[in-house]
Amino acid sequence: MSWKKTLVVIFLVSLSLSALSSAFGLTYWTPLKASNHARIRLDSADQLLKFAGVVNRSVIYSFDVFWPMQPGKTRVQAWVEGIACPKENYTIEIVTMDGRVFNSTEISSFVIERKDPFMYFHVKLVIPPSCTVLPSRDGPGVVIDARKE
Amino acid sequence: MKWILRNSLSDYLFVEVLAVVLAAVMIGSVTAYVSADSIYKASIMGGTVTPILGAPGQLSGQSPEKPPEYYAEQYLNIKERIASLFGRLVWSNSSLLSAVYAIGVLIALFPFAYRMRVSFVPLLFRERTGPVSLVLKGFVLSLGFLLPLFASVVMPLVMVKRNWLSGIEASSLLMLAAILLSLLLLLTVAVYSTYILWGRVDLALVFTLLLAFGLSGKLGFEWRSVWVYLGASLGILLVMVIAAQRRLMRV
Repeated sequence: MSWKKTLVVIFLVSLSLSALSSAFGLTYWTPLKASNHARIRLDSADQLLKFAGVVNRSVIYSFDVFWPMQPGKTRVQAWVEGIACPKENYTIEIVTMDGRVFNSTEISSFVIERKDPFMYFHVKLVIPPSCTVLPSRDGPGVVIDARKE
Repeated sequence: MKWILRNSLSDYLFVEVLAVVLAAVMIGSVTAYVSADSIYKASIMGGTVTPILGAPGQLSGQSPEKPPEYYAEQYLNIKERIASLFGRLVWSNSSLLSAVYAIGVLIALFPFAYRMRVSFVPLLFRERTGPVSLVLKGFVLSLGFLLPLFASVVMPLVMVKRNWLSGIEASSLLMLAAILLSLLLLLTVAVYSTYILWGRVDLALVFTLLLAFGLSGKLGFEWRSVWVYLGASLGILLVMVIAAQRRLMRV
């Protein structure tokens, strides 16, 4: 029995087993969630919209969202609650972390492929001056829902 | 496959193979556990930009919009911050890591050291022992056993770097890997040399755990820790060589 062969056996077996155990352990023990849901309140939307109607400009809300989340294919949905737009609808623009831009009116829904265990995007909401704020307890807000597919 | 089985199961070597494999899996999975936990905590601490209390609004034309590339760069900055927090958070579990590493090294080395049946115990009791050259050869071989353990420490960190934190400067992860590897080297030297010097596995374990706890509690997440660990293992090595020399001179 040669020492060289023994060392090779030990090395190969333990290398493959520890690779397996660390790959399995990293995914098994991570507390990252597979879905995330948030409602982000729009600050003083009522006053801003009234003022925008006077000067005939639209109101812009722009903010960043960062969540720890499991990597993989993710469906992101975003819509606005508590605002009524009879004439012209609001637009939601979402810039994802790889620099892609998703534009839509009403419900914005798209799928992104992520490699990292983070979710980062920039949301820009443009509300035209013709919109009005509906009376509600919490006020208007953007609802963002991310779910791993 | 057949020759692997035949070679490892013939003889008594399978105990050694089993011990090293067990130790590698132990060390790999505890490192993976700590890494998986730390990456979540680091991302909570390093990336808090979600507006919880409400987003501020403005009229159009008040401030210019930034191009999409700006947000991609911002994301890289956040990832860089998370990477530096990640190293610090993993090292904040230093006592758990060093305890499990010490026990893992002991499991990996014990069948081997036991089979060599050498020790300097008679240094105290003036009895007959095995030759000194066998001890030194065994020490070199025990460093060979260290390689799979090294690999199993680095494996989870490499996976985190490749899959989860790609595209960043890895200086923090490099430092973490250096600290963990030098800690493992110190523990190996401590276990082997104390077992050789005293011939008792319980004393070796107690000494190694005391050494690991005493050092890792004090050392922060910086390059100085690597030098302290390397210096401590050199010191232990020196003690072993002095003992071997006394043994050769038949003191």
